[in-house]
Amino acid sequence: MKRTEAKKRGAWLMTAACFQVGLVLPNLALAADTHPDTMKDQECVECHADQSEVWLSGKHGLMNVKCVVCHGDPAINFVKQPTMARCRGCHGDKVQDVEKRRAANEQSCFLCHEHHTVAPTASAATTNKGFHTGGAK
Amino acid sequence: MKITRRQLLKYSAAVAAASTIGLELPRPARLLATEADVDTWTKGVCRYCGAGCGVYVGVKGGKVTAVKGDKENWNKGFLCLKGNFLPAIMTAPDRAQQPLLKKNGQFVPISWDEAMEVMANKFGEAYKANPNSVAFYGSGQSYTEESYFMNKLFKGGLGTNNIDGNPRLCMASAAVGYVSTFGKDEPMGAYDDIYHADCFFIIGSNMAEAHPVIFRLVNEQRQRGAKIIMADPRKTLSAKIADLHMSFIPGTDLAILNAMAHVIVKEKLYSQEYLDKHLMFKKVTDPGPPPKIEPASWDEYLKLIDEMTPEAAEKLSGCPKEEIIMAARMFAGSKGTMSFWCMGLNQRTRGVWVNNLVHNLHLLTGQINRPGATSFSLTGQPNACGGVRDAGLLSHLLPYGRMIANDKDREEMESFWGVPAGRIQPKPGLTAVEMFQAFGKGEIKAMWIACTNPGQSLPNVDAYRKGMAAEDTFLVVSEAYHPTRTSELADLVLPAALWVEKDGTYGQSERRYQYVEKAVEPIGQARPDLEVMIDFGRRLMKTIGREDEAQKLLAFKNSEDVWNEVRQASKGTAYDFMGMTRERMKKAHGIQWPCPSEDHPGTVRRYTAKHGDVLVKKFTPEAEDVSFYGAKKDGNKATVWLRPYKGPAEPPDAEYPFALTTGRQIEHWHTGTMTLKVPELRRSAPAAYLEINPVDAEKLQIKNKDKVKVTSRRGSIVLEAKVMDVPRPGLVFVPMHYPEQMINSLTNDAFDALSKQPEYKICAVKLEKV
Repeated sequence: MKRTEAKKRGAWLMTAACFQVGLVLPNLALAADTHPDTMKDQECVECHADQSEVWLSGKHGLMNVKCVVCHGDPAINFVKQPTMARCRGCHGDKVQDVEKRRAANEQSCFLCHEHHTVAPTASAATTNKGFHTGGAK
Repeated sequence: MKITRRQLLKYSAAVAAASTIGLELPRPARLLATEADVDTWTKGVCRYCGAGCGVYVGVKGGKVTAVKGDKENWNKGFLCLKGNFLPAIMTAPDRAQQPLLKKNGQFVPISWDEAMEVMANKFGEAYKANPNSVAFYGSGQSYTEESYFMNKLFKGGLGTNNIDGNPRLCMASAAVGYVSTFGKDEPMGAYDDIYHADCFFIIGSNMAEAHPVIFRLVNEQRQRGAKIIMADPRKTLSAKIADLHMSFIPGTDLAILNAMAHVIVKEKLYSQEYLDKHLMFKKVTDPGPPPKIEPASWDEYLKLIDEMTPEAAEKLSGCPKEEIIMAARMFAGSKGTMSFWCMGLNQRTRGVWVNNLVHNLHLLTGQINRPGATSFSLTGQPNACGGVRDAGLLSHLLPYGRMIANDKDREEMESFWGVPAGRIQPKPGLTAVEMFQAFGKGEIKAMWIACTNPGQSLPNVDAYRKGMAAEDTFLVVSEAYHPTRTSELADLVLPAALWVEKDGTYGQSERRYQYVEKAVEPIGQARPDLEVMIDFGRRLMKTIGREDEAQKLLAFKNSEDVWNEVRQASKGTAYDFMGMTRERMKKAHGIQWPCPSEDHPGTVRRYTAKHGDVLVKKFTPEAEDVSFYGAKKDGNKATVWLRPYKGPAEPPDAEYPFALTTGRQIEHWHTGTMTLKVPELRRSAPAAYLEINPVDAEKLQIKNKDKVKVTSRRGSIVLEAKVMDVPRPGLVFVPMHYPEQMINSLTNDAFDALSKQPEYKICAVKLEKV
C-alpha cells in the first residue's frame, strides 16, 4: 500500500513522540494511557479504520495479531505507543537484540519498524540490514 | 468459595464496561504478559490447542507473570493471540480454590479428606451394585500421566470400560480414519512437511483462527511459491491466502472428494507403481453394526467413482466442476501435497468416511511418504493425541494401539498391569454421548468429569444438563475454575491445579511429546489431578476390597513414576518411545515418536525407512522403503476405501431452511473458561453472534446488529447479526465459546456410527428477526 505524504508525516511524528516519551518515561509500561470511553462490544475498527487497514496490509494483520496484543485493553492496560516489551511474546530474541545493542533512549521497535505494518522502514531496511542476526524470523 | 457464575459474569462485564460509563474502576495494575518482570523462565507448552507451541513461562514472586515463545521449538518463538495472554488464566477471579460439596442445593466448603471419602464411598456403593454404573469422562487437556493412570484404574483396577474422553467429540473420526486406512492412529507426517510442500489442500479447517501458528508456517511457504486450495463453505480468514477457494453446500464434501478421485483416475494422474506396491481396496457390504467389510477390486472402485463425475458433484455440492477439476490437478500434479483438516470433517455423521476419502487422494496419487506429501489431521486440544488417543483413554482402546475388543491386547495389558486374567472386559464401554445418555437415565450412578466442560460442550447440551443435575446420581467435577457450566451442576467440585502449577507430558498433533515443567505452586487448596486420582484410586480400591491389589497397581508417587510406566507400555509397539526419558524430555524441545532408544533422535516421518523411521525394518525387514507396519493383517498395505456419497443427518428443509455451523474465533478457546477471563481477549471478542450472508440477510430484512432468534429442533438462542460475505448463502455461523449463549443448545447429537463422534458442524435452523 502506498502511503500518503500526510500519513508519512504522521508516522514520523508518532515515531518522534515515541522517542520523546521514551526519554521522559523509560518505563512507560507501568503507566497506562487513557482511552476514550467505548461500548463494551465496540470493535477497534469502528473508530480506527485507517490504522486497521494499514495493519491488515502487514504480516501481523494477516496473522491476526489483534490490537489488544500491542495496545492492551482500553479499560485496563491501554497504551498508545506500545513498548518494546509488548513484542517479547513472539520476538524475544529481537527484543534482546535491541536491549543489548541500543542505548536506553533508543529502545523502541518503532524507530526501525513501521507502525501497524511493522515492516522495516525504508531507511532502516538500508542502514540497519542484518541488525537482527538471531531470534525468530 | 462463594463466587457464583452470575457474580463472575458481572465482574467480566464490569471490567469491559468501565470505560463505557466513564468510571475509573480500581485498576488491577496489570501489565501485559509480555512486559512483566521475570525472575526465572521455565520451559513448557502452550495450554491451548493441539498445535503444541513451545513456550517459556516467566515467574516472579511465585506467580506466572510472563510468557514467550520457544524459538528452538517448531514454532520458532511465535505464539498466537491467545498464547500471548496465558499468565492471566492463572489468576482469574473464578479459580476454584477449595473442595465444595452440594448440600440442599448450595455448595459448602469441605476438606480434601472429606471430599475424597465422600467420593470413594459414592463410587464404591455404585460399583458394588454394578461395576458398569461408574464412569470417568476425561480430557485432551489432562497430562498423559493423568489419563494413563485413570485408564489403568478403570480398565485394569475396576474392570469397567466406562471411561472416555472429550477427544471423542473432536478427534475420534480422525483416529478411526487413520486406523482404518493405515492400520494405526496418528499422522505419519509433521509440521516439517510444510517446508517441503508446494500445494496445500485445506478442508474443514479455519487454521488462521484455530491453529494460527501452523497457519503462519503455511503462509510462509506460500510466499515461497506454494499453492493453497481451501475447501470450506465459509470464506474464513484462512481463505484470504487461498489460490483456489472451493465453496460448497455443507455436508457435500464427500461428493467433491470422490469427484476429485474421479478426475485423478480419468486423467491418469494416479501412481500405478505406488498402487501396486502399497495399496489395497475395501468396501462395506453390510453396515451392521458391526459393519461387514470385504476386500474390493480396482474395477469396483472405478465403478464407484465413475458415477461421481465433477458434473454430478457440482449438482450435489454447488461447487463448480471447473474448480473440482482444477483442485484434482493441483493436488496430483504438485511436487508435494499436504492436506490439513480439522472439525469440519471430524464432527460429522460421516466423519470417518470423509477422513478416508482425503487419505484416498494421497494414496492414489502417491502424495505420501516423502517430505511435503502427507495427510495431516489438525488437533484441537494440547494432549488429545498424546494423552487420549495414544494412551487409550477412550472406551474402546487400551494403551498404545491396543484394542479392547482384541483378546491378545487385553491379555497383554492384564499381564503388564499385573491384574487377574479376564479383569479387562472384552466389550467396549460407553462413548461420550452414550455415557451422558446413561447418566441421564440413572444407569450410571457416579461419574467423574476432569478438566473438561461437557455442560457447555456436548451437542444438544440442554438434554444432557438435566441428567447431570439429577439428584439421584453423583457427579464429581475436577476443574481449575468454578462455576463453569458443568461444575454448577456437580455434587462435588474438586479444585484443580492448572497448567504449570503441576508437571506432566503433552503430546501434540505431529507426535511430538513435550514435558511441561512445574513453575508455581497451585492456587489456594487446588491440587494436581494426578495426586487426587492416586488418592481416590487407593480409597476406592479399599472400599471395594482390593486394597492389597492397589498397593502394587497404583504404586506411584509422582508424574515421573507414571511416565516411566507409560514408556514401558509403549515398548515394542508401533508407538515405541522408550527413549524419551524424563531427563531427556526436560532438555529437549519436544521429541517425536517413535523413539525406541535413548540415542534415537525421534521420527519426523513414519512408515518410510528412507526418511528415517527405524520401525519399518523392525516390523518388516523385507521392506525397501515404505511399510504400513501397523496394518499387519493387510500385508502392511494401506487401504483405499470405497465410500459413497452420503449427506448430513439433518440437512436444511422447508421448516428449518438454513444450515448452522459452529467454530472458533482466534481470541477464544473451547468453552471460554480460560480465554474469556482474559480482559484483553474478552474485549476483542466479547459475545457470540450470528454470521449471515448479505443475500440471506436482505431476504429476511436483517441488518447488522439486529437481534435474531435462531431455532433448531432442539433449542433457540437470540444473537446479534453480523451481516458479512463469509458464510455462503444458506449457511449461518455461530462461535462456540460463550457460556452465556450456548450454541450447543441447538447442535445435533447424532453421531458417526464408526467413531461415535457427533455432528456438531451441520444442523438445520430457522431464523426470525426479533
